[in-house]
Amino acid sequence: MNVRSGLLVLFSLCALGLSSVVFAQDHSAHQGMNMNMDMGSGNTTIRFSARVGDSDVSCGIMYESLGSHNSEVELTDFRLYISNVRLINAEGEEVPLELTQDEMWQHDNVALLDFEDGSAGCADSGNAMLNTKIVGSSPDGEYTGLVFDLGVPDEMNHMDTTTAPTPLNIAAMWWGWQGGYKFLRVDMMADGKPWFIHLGSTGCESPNEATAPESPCSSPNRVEVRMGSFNAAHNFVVVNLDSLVSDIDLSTSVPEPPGCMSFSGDPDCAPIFKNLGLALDNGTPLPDVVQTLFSTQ
Amino acid sequence: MKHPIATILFFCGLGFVGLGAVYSAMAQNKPDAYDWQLPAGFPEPRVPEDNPMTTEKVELGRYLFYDTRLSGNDSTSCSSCHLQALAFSDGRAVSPGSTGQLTHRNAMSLTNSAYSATLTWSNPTLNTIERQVIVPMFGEFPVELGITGHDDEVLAHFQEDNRYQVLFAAAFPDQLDPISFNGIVKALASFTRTLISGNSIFDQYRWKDPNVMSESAQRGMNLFLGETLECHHCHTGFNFSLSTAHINTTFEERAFFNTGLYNVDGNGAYPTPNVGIYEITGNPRDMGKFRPPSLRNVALTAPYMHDGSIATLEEVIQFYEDGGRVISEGEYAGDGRSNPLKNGLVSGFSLTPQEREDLLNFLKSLTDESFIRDPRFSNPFADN
Repeated sequence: MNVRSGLLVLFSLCALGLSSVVFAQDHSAHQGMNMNMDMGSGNTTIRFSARVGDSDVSCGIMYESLGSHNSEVELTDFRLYISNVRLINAEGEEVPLELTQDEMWQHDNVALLDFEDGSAGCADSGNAMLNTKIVGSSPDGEYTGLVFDLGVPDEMNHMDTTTAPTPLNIAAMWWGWQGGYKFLRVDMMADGKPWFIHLGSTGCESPNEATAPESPCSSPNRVEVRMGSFNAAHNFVVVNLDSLVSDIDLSTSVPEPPGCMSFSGDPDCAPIFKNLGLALDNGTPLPDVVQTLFSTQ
Repeated sequence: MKHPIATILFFCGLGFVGLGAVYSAMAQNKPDAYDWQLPAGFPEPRVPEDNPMTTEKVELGRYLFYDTRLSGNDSTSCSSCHLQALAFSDGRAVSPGSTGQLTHRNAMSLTNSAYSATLTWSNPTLNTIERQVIVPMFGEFPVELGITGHDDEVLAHFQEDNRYQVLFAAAFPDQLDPISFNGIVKALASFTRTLISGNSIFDQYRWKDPNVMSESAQRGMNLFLGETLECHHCHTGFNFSLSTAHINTTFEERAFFNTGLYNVDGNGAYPTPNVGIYEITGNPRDMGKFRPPSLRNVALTAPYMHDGSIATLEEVIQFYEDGGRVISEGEYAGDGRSNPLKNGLVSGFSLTPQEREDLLNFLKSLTDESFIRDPRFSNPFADN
């Protein structure tokens, strides 16, 4: 027997031994999980549905009447980061949903929702994969409501996409070292012209654009979304594109850039921020204004 | 037993260590894994599983890259169109192949092609250098190296050369007959993958010395990375290209854009045969969509665009300032600014003369002088 076949035999024996032990472990792991469930732990899936009217959005569809000017709109990108998901229990307490670390859509307490499939108009900067849910676990119990943030938490917002874990490694969802991530990216062609909504933190101070800031940006532009009544088994979170752009004349835009890139001086941003319940000048919640992008169904 | 997996792993590990030592002692000419020596901020490139990087393959690839015998008539090498002094581009709008026939498109800089999500200007299906190098070697429309029809002669050059017998044997020690086109492709791809540039003034400024970049270039950098010009959407990240992939990439993003360079029929058409990825996909919406190249060493890679139709960087800046190109007469006449397939972020902007100069100085700060002088990438035949 030469050295190579010796290695092969040893490897096979080891693999056999390992697999039988792994199987045994796996079996006990299942038992453990059942035990945990008895003790009050379970999995929760929060389903999302991005819609125009009653229809799920999709690349390649021409929506005939969006915005205040009833524009013809085609999506060219639609992705967003959700973080800090909490379930509200019967006592009104917020219980964190521990996100499954799937090494794809969810990392730490951040998840990417992806409503573009890279087809048709979404081909310029998209990919084939879609994600319309957030999966996690929470202690067993009665939950009546849901709270989450639209955005990436500050402590993760200025990573380098080159080394950041997925889903924070997507260049198309990243402004740069200084500005951090685009929390919400809605790219459209409206009446044949581009219209972009890129929501992210602004007023981020660092020595230059190629350096991450050391302190939080002055306009965080994160939106806390609260669903007073939400049952994950029966309800969806609806992402209403038509509500987001309801007060905007999409047939025109103040140039440079076309649409709203979260800058407080951009008139295109005013109605968007109002619909997100955010003050345009400092990126904090507007008192008495509830965001209209998300709703429950 | 308290930790059965750990125990088995321990004994397996012992066995492997023991046998491994015997095996490596027997196979002393096993190739060495290549040491990337990556610049700060650079992730490890992707490498196909069937072509792991080794020092020996890289060295063989370097010889092949500079060898004119790798062409149908001994006239042309890879380096004929990819000159180190020009960051492995060639300074021409389009390039003559071994038979004098001109290429359709501008010879791309090979800077950091290890990180290109796709290769060449406009082929979404071409995603390894191994598959790309086959195009210039064997392509007939146009002829580049022109090996097709001369396969046996070309291979014979290397089979009869003592130096290559040694180089191929070292690169492919497990193969009885290592001198093959498969080996040539793997070695060329391995060498190309080493052409990594990350020591420009910009990099030195970012990682080492904040005083090394001029004030003007710093202002230009902030313009480039800011939200008014929108340059960074297509030219983003450490490699200044959205078309970037590496070992930490999860999602395969497409990155091909129509920038309004042409609009010959008013409906967005680009002059044939350079119609962008439409040539591959057949989707009318893909007309004129090309890959955004890395801007590293961009000051060395004139002329610009897929067909080399813009001569200088100053004119490139003006082109993006205008939000497209107007061609007022001739067969390509048309207003690219109103190309209906143009990407929405190429919407134009206006700069003061000072800002224009600042932006230009930033682009020049991406030149890596050590890259174009690095002896590891130079012509090995010139040493002899």
